[in-house]
Amino acid sequence: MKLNIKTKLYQTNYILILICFLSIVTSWLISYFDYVNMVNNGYINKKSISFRLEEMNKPFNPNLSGYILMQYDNERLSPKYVYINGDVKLPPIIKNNNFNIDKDIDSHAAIVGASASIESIPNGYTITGTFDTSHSYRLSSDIWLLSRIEELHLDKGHYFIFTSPSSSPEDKLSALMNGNPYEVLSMQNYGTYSLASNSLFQNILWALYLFFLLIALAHTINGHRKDGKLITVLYYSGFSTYRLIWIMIKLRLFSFMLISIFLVISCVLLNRYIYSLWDTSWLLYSFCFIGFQSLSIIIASISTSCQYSVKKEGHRF
Amino acid sequence: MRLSEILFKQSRMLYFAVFLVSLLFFSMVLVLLINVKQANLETHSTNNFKGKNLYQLSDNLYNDRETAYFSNSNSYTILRDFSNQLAQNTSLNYYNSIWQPIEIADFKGDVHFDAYYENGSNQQPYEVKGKTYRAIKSLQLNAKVFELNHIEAEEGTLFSNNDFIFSNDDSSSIPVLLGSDYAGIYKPGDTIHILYYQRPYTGNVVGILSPSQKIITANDPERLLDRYIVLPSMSFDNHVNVQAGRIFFKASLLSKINGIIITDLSPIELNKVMSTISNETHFNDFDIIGANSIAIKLLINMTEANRSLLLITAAISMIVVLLLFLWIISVVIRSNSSVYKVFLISGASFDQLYASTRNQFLLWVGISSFLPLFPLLILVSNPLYFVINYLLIDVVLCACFVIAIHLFIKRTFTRLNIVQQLKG
Amino acid sequence: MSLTLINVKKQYNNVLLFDHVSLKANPGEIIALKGKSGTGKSTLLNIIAGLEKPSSGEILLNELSFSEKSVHELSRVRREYIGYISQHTPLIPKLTVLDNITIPLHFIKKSEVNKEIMARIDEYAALLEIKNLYDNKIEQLSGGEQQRVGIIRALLHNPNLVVADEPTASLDDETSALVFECFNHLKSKGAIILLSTHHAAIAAKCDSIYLLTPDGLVLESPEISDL
Repeated sequence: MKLNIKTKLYQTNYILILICFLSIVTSWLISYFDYVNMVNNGYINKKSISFRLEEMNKPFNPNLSGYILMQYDNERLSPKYVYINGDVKLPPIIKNNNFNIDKDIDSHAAIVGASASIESIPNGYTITGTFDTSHSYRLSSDIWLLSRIEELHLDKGHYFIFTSPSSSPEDKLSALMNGNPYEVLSMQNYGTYSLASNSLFQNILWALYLFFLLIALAHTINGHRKDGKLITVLYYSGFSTYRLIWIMIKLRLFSFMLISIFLVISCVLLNRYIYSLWDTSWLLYSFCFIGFQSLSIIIASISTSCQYSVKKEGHRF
Repeated sequence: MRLSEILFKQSRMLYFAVFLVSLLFFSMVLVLLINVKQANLETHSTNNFKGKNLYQLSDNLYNDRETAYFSNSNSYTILRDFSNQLAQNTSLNYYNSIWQPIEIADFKGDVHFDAYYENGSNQQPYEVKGKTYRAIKSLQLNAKVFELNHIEAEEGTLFSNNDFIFSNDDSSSIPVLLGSDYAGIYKPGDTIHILYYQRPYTGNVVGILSPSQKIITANDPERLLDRYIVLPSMSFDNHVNVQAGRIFFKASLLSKINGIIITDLSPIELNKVMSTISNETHFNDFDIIGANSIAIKLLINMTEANRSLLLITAAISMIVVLLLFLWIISVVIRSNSSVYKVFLISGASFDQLYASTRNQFLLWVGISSFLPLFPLLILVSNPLYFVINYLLIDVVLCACFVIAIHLFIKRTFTRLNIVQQLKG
Repeated sequence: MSLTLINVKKQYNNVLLFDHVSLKANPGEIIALKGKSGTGKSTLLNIIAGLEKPSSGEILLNELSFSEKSVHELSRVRREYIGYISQHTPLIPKLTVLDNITIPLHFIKKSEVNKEIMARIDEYAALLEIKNLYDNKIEQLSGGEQQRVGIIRALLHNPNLVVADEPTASLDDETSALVFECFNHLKSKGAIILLSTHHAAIAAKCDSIYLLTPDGLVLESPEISDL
């Protein structure tokens, strides 16, 4: 009997798990579109910070990781001196045989776009890879000169673009600057970022995310209403309201959380080993969905348990 | 009390959920319609450049050569004729976008609008006759640029055909269009004091452009207009009165002949056409350079890939939403099974049950399908295209819903087996 | 109006429930149907109420043949001539007692609650002692009170045939007696009452008792049943 009840409750959770999966896919799509836009905008995203540095009183913080810093001259946007620190996702690159990002930074390597003017590459740099971005005219004409942050000098240019997957790139940049004063510049976004259809579609994806949130909420409320009779039976059988709340939470919430976290972990592994994105904001959105849903299950469990034990049926006895 | 009221009273929350889901569904349909139109427009704009040969015209008039050329009193008329013949030639599209900052008196905008803000060489404001002038980003565009890039105004209007013609030497007013970042700073009908090639003008703001409007230029495949003041690149049909402003006329005419030629003609064919124009107008101090079209080709690919990606994702999303919508309907029917039992033993036939349930859903679907039109009418300028197309799609979708809901209700009722439930 | 069953048979997925069920009921007759659980009493009553179709056989209400009618047409027959009372009367919890009773009017052309109908409701409500509960929500009623609401709803249109599936199963003796009094009242008006019951006391008050077996109905007399 106990097993049957559990099976019944688990079965009703399948739809919720499906909706959870769809919301994770939507969250991933939001991040994916942002990554595509970033590639099309020359690997600069909406959270990138452009700034100008007139003088450098202290060297930049060499211990900070998880960012890409591009340095360029105001006369020409390319080539750029690019400082990559930590485990960050790079744009698609067709690598030469002996490509190794850590080694290449040390050995003055250049990554170039298919239509870049390679004659502008300074002496001492060798091409180790080509951008594999057939739709990004910006990266296709770009040249990245990989350098170590310790080699940063202002004679290479006073203009910088800082990009980090961190949720707060401003704080990270501030830590990197090590007290050097800099002037933030408000730059415009190009590529697919500047297509109205693209930004509108991002809003559609958010609406879809909201849609799944609503559907999941409606499903939770409806599912708990269906459990009313079961709660009444258990209440008659001697279970206290507190125990019923616990049973409902245990059966409804734990199974949901177990499967949804399994889903998220699977997605994380896929993201890490098969196809990764620039940042993990989609994971945050997924966790927000699971958190909201878990909260709604807890509230629904408490309210249904109270309603169908003490209030609805219990008062007669 | 009507049957639908009884059904509604029984599952208020779920009907509200149906309404919300339906509203979201139809809002998505409408937004997708707008988006498909937008994506098509974007692709259409870039397709104007697809498969075309692009050439950059460049004059050779600089330093001593320039001085010598303009010492001839006919030089201005020759340049005028040359630029006018280029614009009128039907075998090519003459595309003129000139990046030229203009000085504006007592400018209300912040530093983002300054001509050299992005590369950090902002010039200090200066005073002339008690007015403070700042160099502001500006583009002078001919009509072809507007046409090929499908430029749209959010408020006010675009330039009229007459705005592209310099009609009166003594005229001191000029129409201007402002990029979308100017919204809230200036509005259509406002006037701004401009120095355009050192000639004072009163700029009449005729419109504010829609956000993310951009044009393809020779140096930059994407020039975003959000921070720009756009002036018409004017042609000089009448006699050029040099005395009225030598610098103005010289700069205007030189900029007029440094445009892009977009054509299907091969280099040899184009040379032939240009030779004819050159011979007829007696101007030959120019070069034709093959413009960098790789970036433009990539831009076209990017725009097309963007549209394809959006359409595929949108189609899948719509199917998922539709399936969930049908699932919600089945949940509502199931939750109302006790009401259907009452109806059944009260003499209702199954057909009546189907009809009352179907009508109930269609009422909510109908209401929610019309609601998205209200924000559309308020927010979108010239919404007629979208209203007509949305209503057509709406009718088709509602017809599909009638059929789908009817079949779905029958299936759900069969699965519910209400008669069996009556046996207790 | 008389009720005639001729060789009614019902089977589900080749499993026979009952066969050769024949019966003749005359106006003003109360018939009890008995049988072990699972023999198909509720199914037979559903067939007589036009809710289900038999596998074979004929049901006649006077000259009206059920076999010639579609399920949709049978709904009309039920609406006009039959009152159906089930073991667990389905009611709409969010509505009041009076709203629940008058639901069948939605399916009749002249659907307003007129004086005649209200007088009838008052008559049965007084008989079943729930007249003071009209404005109460169903959720506020006890199980017995809910059953009585269901009974009044079934009798609202003065049916010629009342089909009641264990109408007193959830009622105490006193209330069961009230329900039976109600049936007697209908009987006096010439209606046929066909009810299934496990209660010997209720069966004993009926004019005839039939036992449902897989091979058909077997007549028992009330006296034998009492014994």
